Amino acid sequence: MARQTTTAATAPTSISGQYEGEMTSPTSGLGLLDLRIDVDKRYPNSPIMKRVSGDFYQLNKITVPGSPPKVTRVYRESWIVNNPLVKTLNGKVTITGKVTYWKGIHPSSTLKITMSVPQPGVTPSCIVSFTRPGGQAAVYNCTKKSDSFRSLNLEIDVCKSINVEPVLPLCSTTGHPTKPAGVPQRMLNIEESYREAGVQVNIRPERTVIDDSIATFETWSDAELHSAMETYFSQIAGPWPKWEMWGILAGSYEEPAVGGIMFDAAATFGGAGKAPERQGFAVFRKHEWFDALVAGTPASDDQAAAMRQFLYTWVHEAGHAFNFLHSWDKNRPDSLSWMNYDWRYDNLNGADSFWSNFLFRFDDEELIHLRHGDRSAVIMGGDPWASGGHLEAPPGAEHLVAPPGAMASVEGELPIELLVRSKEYFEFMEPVAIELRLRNLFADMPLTLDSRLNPEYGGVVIYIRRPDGRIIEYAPVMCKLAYTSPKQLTPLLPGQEPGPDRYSEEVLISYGRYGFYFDEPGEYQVRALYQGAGDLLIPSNVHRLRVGTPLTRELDKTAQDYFSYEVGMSLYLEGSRSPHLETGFDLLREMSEKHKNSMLGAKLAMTVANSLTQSFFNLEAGDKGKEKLKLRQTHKAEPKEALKLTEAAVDVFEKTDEKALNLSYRQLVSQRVDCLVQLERPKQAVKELGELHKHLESTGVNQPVLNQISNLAETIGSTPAHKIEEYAGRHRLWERVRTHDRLASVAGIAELAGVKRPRTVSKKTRTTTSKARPAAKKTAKKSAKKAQKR
Amino acid sequence: MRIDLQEGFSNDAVEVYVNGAKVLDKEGVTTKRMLGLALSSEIDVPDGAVAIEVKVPTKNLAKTFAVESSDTANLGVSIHNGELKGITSKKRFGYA
Repeated sequence: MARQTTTAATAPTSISGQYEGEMTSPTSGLGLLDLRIDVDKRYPNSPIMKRVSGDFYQLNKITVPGSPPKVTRVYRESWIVNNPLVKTLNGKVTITGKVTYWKGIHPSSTLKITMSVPQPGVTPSCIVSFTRPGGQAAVYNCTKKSDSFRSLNLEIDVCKSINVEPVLPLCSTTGHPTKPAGVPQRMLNIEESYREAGVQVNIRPERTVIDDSIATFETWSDAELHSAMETYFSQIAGPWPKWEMWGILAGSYEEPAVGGIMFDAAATFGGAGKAPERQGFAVFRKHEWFDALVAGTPASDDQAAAMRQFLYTWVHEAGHAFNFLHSWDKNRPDSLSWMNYDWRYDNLNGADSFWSNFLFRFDDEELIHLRHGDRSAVIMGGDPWASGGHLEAPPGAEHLVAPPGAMASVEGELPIELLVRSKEYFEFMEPVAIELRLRNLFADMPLTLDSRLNPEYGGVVIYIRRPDGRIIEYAPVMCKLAYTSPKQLTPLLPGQEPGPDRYSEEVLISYGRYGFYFDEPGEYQVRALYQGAGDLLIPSNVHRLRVGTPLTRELDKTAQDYFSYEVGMSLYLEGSRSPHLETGFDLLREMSEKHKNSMLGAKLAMTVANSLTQSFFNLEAGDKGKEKLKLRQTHKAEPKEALKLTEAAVDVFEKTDEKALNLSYRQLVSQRVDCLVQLERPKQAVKELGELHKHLESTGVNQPVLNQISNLAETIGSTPAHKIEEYAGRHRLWERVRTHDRLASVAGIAELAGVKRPRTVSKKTRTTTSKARPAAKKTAKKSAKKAQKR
Repeated sequence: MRIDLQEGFSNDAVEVYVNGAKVLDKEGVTTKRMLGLALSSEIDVPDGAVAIEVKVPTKNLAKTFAVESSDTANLGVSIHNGELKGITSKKRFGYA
């Protein structure tokens, strides 16, 4: 059937619609505002919702010599103004109101929009300012870009078995005698129905015909539909969320009573159970609803009803993908909405009452969500279905509201990648550490980035989605104030080994300011946001990991003692001999010995051993009471004990072939090499480095890393004992390996060979913890003075 | 007759009796919130007035629906506010 044009005339001089513009103050070009003004008639049969809303983006502008700057935008957060005050005077329109942010705590702020009264043929533009008491106004200069509030692309694929016209609906609002009195006659399809609702739906012209002709195949399950989406949806690749939706016209669902389904939701709601959600839906052409469906103008009431039901099903299922629940699930069983069931409404209000009154629209609350809801609650692949801080969230889902920033997403391609990874399975109570990796994706331009990836420095924010769906922000125990630590990442040349283009750091996220983050078995998702020095915003991938259940009843009982402040802080500090954390240290030591043949035991042994590799100083009362507090050495370094404790851990790591554990294994060996050097046992250190080299080589580690290890082994093997001792007094390999600093061992080697290198600024900004030693502090002070002079 | 178990079921055991005879016995009945449907099943009923009793032992609920089988081709049963509620229809309930 030929597609009929159904677009109605837009109101020529309306204010309402979508605007966009860059920040002009206080920092020109730093931000971008996606603004939606909904205060007057923008389109026929489209109610006014009396709202203004918007999304803030940060603009990443990277200067490329000889070319225009590379610009990408990263979504930050959304807000809404309810019932704004609109005044028109002397040809000027002013819109004001109180800004409410969907997430997080914000100081009270007000919005003011000023613009000229729109004139025919002139694209409206406006100045938008956000002010808060005592603060500088943020000002944006915006231009109208659409009479809709949002827009998205819809890809529709169709199964071969039912690929006959009509594939898509086209329905007259007055085509069936059961209709509301006075309903305006118009032809509605999917696009027009959503245009009236305020969303511009662009149906992609390409349509894949899916061959479902295999004789043994009869009906679709959710899992098969999801799998088909992953196979056929041309936009499935790349980061989500995005304004892309997939619909499939299929034969029959496994339950024949179902005419359509948005299958892309959690399994508990009856969906396929695979995140991200709300990307796709299906309509089942063989459902009895559509038996009378014909191409062209319906010639009977049955045919008109079938077409009306066909339109309803497409719009309804797409509505679920916009995060709509059914009307009765929102305590609005009497709603005359695309999201209600006709027979449910009729049961409450009498036979045929739904179609006698339904005006082919969403209800007001739904329209507000669709047009002005929190972006992550609306956009496909954003908040899980039936959750999110939006008007449609059911009671009891409040805890699923994500903190601001958690849903940050990129529009366009970023020149920098932030990767979060770790092993995928952690034993119950095993410390969870993730690797954060920055990578320059430019082909020809080096980038200098702040390399402090630990959230303690504030440049990286980590979000954790717990098994119950709650998204929380990881809060480190310490906040560190320090100079930036710039690191240049050079582009990877063809044929070059990866290395100079990337920088990694391992971050322990088991414990933070609010306790343990991985204290329940189940699936977790981890996502990070790199802010660097504040001029960039780079969201990472979503990394999934699973925490297992306790393997024994005894381990389960131990959890009571393990999930305590003392253990948490001991883990956070990577081991501590503080008397205040003694019970934690003792438990970790006991567990590391008891479970020494498991990864849990190996990780705990590393933590305990770390605190044994160095002396511990503690402030203690002097002879004359508290006024005379004195720093005393309470524990001497016990490298022998540390070696003994980690012997079994070496075997555990040796036996695993999981690439994600390479960094931890390298840390373990580095820790042991530190101890062996202290004990003047270079031969054993060389041997263990050799074994590490062999293991990492077998797991396909990059050559530059292998070279570092063999160079270090060679240097330790050929350096006189007194020089090694000098080296050992000033360097701890383990800490350097944790930051994956490619130059670390090179610097160490250079110093071993007698070449003095100035220490980097970042090294001396380490927060003073109970581990800091007076000698190290002195060195740090000297270096700081040198750095200031430089 | 078709009986649809609709809203409010959550891992429940459900038994359906027609004039005292058990015709359906299911465990783990859960509403798919995407659809508002947990289970749809065809049951045999005699002509005329029929007593259809639905029991949900896991929620300690039971209710008998008196229907005329010639008028009622479909019975939808939901749990709402701690009660079993039924709706009837000549047309089959559809879900989307």
